[in-house]
Amino acid sequence: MTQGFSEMARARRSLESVRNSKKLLPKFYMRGTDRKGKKGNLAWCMAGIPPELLRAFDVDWEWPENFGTLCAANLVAPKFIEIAEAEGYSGDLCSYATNTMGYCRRCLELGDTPPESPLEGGMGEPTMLIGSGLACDPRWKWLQVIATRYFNLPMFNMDPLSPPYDIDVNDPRIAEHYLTQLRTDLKALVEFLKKQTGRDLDMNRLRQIMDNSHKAHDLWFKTLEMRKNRPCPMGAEDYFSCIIPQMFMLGEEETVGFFQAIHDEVKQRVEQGKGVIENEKYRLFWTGLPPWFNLGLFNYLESLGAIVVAEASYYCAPPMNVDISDPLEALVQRAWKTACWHQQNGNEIMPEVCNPAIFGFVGTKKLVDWIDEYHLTGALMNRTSSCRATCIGQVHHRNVFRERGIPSLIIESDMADPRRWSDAKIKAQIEAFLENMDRL
Amino acid sequence: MDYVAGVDSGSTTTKLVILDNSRIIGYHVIPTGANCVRASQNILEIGLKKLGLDREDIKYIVATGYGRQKIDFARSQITEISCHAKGVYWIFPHVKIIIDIGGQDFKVIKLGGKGQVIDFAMNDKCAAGTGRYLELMSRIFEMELEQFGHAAAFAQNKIDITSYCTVFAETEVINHISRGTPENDIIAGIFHAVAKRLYSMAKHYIGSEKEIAFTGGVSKYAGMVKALEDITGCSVLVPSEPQITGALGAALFALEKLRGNN
Repeated sequence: MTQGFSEMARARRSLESVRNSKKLLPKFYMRGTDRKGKKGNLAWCMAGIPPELLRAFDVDWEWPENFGTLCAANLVAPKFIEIAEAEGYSGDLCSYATNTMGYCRRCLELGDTPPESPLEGGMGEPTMLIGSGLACDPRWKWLQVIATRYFNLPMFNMDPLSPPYDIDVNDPRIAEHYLTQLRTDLKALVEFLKKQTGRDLDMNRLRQIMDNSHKAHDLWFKTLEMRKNRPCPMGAEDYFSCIIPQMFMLGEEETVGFFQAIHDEVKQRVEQGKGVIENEKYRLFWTGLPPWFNLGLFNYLESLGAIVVAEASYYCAPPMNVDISDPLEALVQRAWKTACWHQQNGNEIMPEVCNPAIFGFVGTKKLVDWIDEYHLTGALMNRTSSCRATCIGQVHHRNVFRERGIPSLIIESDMADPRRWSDAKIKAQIEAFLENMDRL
Repeated sequence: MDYVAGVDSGSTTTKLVILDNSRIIGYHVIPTGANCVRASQNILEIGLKKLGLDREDIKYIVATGYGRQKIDFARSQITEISCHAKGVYWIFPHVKIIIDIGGQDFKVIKLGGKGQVIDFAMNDKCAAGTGRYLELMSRIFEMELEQFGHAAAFAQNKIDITSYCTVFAETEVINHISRGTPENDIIAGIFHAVAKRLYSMAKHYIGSEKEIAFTGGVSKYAGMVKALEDITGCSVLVPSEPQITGALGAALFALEKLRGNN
């Protein structure tokens, strides 16, 4: 599968608990084969849809953008992207989206046999699509394309909430506006799921799922906080490997166990003063989506004495204290409080931060605190050609760093398309960047 | 004698500088060809032979450029960004901005007061605007590089070349030729387009600086120097041997390392 991309390397994960993720998260990794032959509801969803709600309805799911990262990591994304390009889609579109479209085309061509992909059994045959406008417009457009061009399926779309960076989110009138919108959207999603599944929402089940979800979130947040230690006990190669359960598996018992294992291992490392690398010379901040096809980049950085200690992308804000006695209202309150946290920490880097799931992008105000808290010495920014939404804020981050004398480097590549990676150029820039940090 | 050397293994040419303390006693430029290791070995042999030196006389060698990691006779490898900065600072200690255009890349480097690299930017994936691009353009006009470099000086008007892509720009140029646009005007337009592209990356670094050091093979084109001056409004200084600044910087690093070791 790696033929033709000899310069790419998969990540060597540092934490044993992350290396063992397939054992700790069997439900997730075996889902393709588990559902083989079963008839049931299967939703293809976008990040931003609360996975807790789907779980409460017993709806199986797939996340095409996550599938994009999986295809990228296994270097098969170009195969699907090229099919989409042959259909007429521009190579400048989101490579997660074109990966999905190419996959859908292959599904139609192959009939019952799923296309060969890194997920055994493939993404399955969806019975519904649930989109979200969170973060970028391609998210809902791409499901719309699937619903209209490839499969004829019912679709629901959640609106993004975009409280502008300069409003007072403490103004009760403003809060009520957004809370009402969130409640309306969630209620509509519940109605959609009821109709598709023919069952009612079990509030007790949702409450239990929310409880698990918050336990996992709490553990993950505490783990990330421990990366402030010197030496850093966990690098980006492990961080990005944990994004899947953080985004898509909240509410599962096994997810709590997974994050507990990581937390305990990281804690033990801190107590023993053990870091990912022995001689930590540079502590870097990462912005942008990672090059999933080449997560070995982080090992390469470590070989040069540089460790990524914090990331702007997929950052889970601190756990919000919400009452889960009414679990639907808890989802609303969690989304709003998280959005307020991001808005108050400089959401000019990415306006659409409000979502019912627990992740966002670190704002510039928070970054100022992080420079000291994480002992940052530099920043590395991946400008992903096919994802403008996650790049537009990089210049703000860079300005914050520059004002404080912290050097930063922007590299250009992509998140899923390895054809956009220029190994010699990028490594030459990284080495020059680190070399000169020594001399500043 | 404490001889040291710097080898710059570039995509198009390989360069060598040999220093006797801080004095340049020899330098060479040869095509890299298909094998950068062989080219670097050849250039060292040429340099030693010309000076009547043996390999053992060179006490420290630093390699730079894209092929630097493969040059096993070098004792250390340093990136071309650092080496260009070092070399240019040695030649023009008062200049804070370097623009370097090589065979397949261009870079902008901002220096601090002591010649340290404060920041830099490089073209990433696209080779438009690099030496290869200009080489291709000169071939359309069936001109030698030097002739091509000077042709722009005779332009009455410069035309706009808008295509970003090298191949499409070639088509655009051919269209202008077929329309009867004077060759010199088209060539001036080509240099202007490259300068504009560079400036969009460099403007932020140039700020209020009044002088720019321009290095790399492309700085030998008079038309390119003029276009850069027009676009940036800065005086553009070109070293007498603009291709060897990276190798010179590598040799200066070698000297520092030798002295440090001693």
